[in-house]
Amino acid sequence: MAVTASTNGNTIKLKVSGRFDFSSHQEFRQIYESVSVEVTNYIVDMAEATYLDSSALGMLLLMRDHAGGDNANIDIVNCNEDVKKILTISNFGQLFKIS
Amino acid sequence: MNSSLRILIADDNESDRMILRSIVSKEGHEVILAANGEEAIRLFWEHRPDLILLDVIMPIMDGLSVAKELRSRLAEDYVPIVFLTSLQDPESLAKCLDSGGDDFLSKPYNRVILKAKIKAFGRMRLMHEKLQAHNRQMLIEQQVAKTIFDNVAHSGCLDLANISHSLSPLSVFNGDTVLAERKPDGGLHLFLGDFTGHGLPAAIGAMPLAEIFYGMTAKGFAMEEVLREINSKLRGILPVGVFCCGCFVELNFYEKHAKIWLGGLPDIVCFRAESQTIETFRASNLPLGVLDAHQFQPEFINLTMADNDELFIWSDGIIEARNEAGEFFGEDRLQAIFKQSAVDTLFSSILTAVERFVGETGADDDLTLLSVKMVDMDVLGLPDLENKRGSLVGPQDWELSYTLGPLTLRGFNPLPMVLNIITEVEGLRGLSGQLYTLLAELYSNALEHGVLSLSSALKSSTDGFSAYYAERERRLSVLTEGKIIISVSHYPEATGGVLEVTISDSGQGFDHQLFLARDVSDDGCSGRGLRLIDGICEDFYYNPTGNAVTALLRWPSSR
Amino acid sequence: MSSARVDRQVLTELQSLLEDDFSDLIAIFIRDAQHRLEQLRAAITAQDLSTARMSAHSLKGSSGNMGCVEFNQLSDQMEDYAKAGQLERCEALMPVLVQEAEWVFGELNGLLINP
Repeated sequence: MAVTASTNGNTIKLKVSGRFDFSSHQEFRQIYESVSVEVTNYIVDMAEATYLDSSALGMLLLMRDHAGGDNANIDIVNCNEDVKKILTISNFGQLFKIS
Repeated sequence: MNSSLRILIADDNESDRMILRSIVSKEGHEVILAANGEEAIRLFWEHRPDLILLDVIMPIMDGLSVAKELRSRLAEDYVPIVFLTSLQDPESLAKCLDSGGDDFLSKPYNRVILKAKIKAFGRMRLMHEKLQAHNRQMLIEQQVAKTIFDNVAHSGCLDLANISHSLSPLSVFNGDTVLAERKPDGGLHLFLGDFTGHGLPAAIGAMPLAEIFYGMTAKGFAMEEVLREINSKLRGILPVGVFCCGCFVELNFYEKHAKIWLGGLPDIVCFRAESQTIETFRASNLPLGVLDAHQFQPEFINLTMADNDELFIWSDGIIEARNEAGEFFGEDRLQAIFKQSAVDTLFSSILTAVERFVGETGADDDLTLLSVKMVDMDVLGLPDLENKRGSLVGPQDWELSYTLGPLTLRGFNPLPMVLNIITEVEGLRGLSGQLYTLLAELYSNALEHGVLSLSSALKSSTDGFSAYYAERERRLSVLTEGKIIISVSHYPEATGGVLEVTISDSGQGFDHQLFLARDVSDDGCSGRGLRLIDGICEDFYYNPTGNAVTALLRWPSSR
Repeated sequence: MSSARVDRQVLTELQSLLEDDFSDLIAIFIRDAQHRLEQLRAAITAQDLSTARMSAHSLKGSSGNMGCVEFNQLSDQMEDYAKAGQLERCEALMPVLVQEAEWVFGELNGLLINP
């Protein structure tokens, strides 16, 4: 899986492509952990993500924790049917904005 | 430390063999000589050398074939192979490596270079042996851990007649867990859990979960209370990002009712025996261990189930099982099985279908499947609850009065605690099942009919139970007035004692004459309740208003 | 006769390596090499270049280990010709190789008598 990040003011956009699974852990984490203090909004772009497993869900939770827990502002966008289904079954819509 | 190795030298040229033997034995190593490939293989298995020096071009069987054969048969064990060759071209050298060689030694043989290579590979072999020893140690430790795990997450009552379950070793290893336990009143709690991750870190979370599940269920706590406790525990001990997807089912065999909590697991199926159709239900909760206690607001599915209706629950291992072509088994295939199979064999049909689909590859055998049927209580009987208590005699002469106001009534279940106190009396421990059922019946009457003014007529409509419980929840959530008083006393007698329980509520009372006049042979809920009361109570009466009930019990029973 | 056919330094090392077995080594080398030359000759005659190639390869290896520089190079050449399917070249090279072998064997035997 590849993750690219771009920052725009106080928003960081992480673009995930390929399989978002256990092997992506380090990469993903390094990126969101190194954001500057100004960043308050997170966008995870799943347009090119093909697959999401439970460790990916765990990573999203870790990121949310890092971004302020209940005060975090995270949008997960451009989810395809499969990705959306996984997020729906896990009810992650209760913790993230999903589209 | 002895660093001398046993080295097998295979070269079809006698003078070359002589030279190599001299070099190698002068370095202090033991030498075994072979003149061709076939001999090399035979001598290898006979002497199990630590290193092989292998000529590439030999008659009968060449070096490349020897290397290939040995590599394929050695599997986990590692023996370095150094090819002896005067071949120089990259293609030939690449072929050597592809056959399983680790290095080359070119002719003419250079003593210094050979010495260096032997030393290097000797070290590698040592590291490999250390690694294998370490792995063996880890396996032993894992086995110990597994034994502890098995003892904690014991099978409970998974072997009940109406439950079927299947857990593959890999799925257990990956943190899947299946638990079942009877409640004191005869009901059943079931749980299927799927922790994130693999191996020990995933499986270890199942231990505290199982402790809580079994402990609280046996004491009579309701599903929501158990779930809440599990969620808090996991939230507290699991690192962020690790959680447990699960399904919790509470079955009531008298009321033919199932209450289900589903969080993060794939859709579950209810197979309706009469119509032979299925209904599916989707998770509406986050997995366990994600939310803080104050955020944990579980949503439940309430289901009326006729006898032989069957619930099917699985972890995503079945859906993601892959065949040789890399296709997933998928939910569609899974649900189709219910149409295709004979009713009595649904559970095994699912397993067979997945097995056939996966085929020979079988390596990804991560399957967890659970099913439970609604049956008549007579099929199961009342549970035989083991009582592991400390004190032998316990309290003998005592009284207790517990008043619960509206705020408490909204969300607190006092029964496990009251039962706990009552069963401190040694002679009453054997009756805890019946006592719990009795208390539960009287308490729920007091709460639902007394304080909440609910009518049981609601239960008998088609959507009955769901509507009833929904209304119960609603009225409880806005309760501002009312109370229930539980009074218990116990006094010793010559060879036993007398227990008296009174539950009174702030309600209007009800027509107890009518209730008591009912035929004991009535098979419905009230009939069952009456039978029980009749069975264990020496005396049973209401106050004139009908909002206080007293049950008197003498032990040992003279009945 | 031309200059030394066998590298003295290699021989010295071999002698210190093999010690008492040194004379055995020489004898075995000569015997095997003669045998292989026969194999080579027969193969060329039979136009079996595959066998010829293997025999030449073997001669190359052992002669190299024994420090017989020219013998080693000629065997290498023979191997290449056989690999390339050049029968005539093999046939032409054969007597050269045989002559070199005789010089080598002579020198080695001489060493045994006069170390």
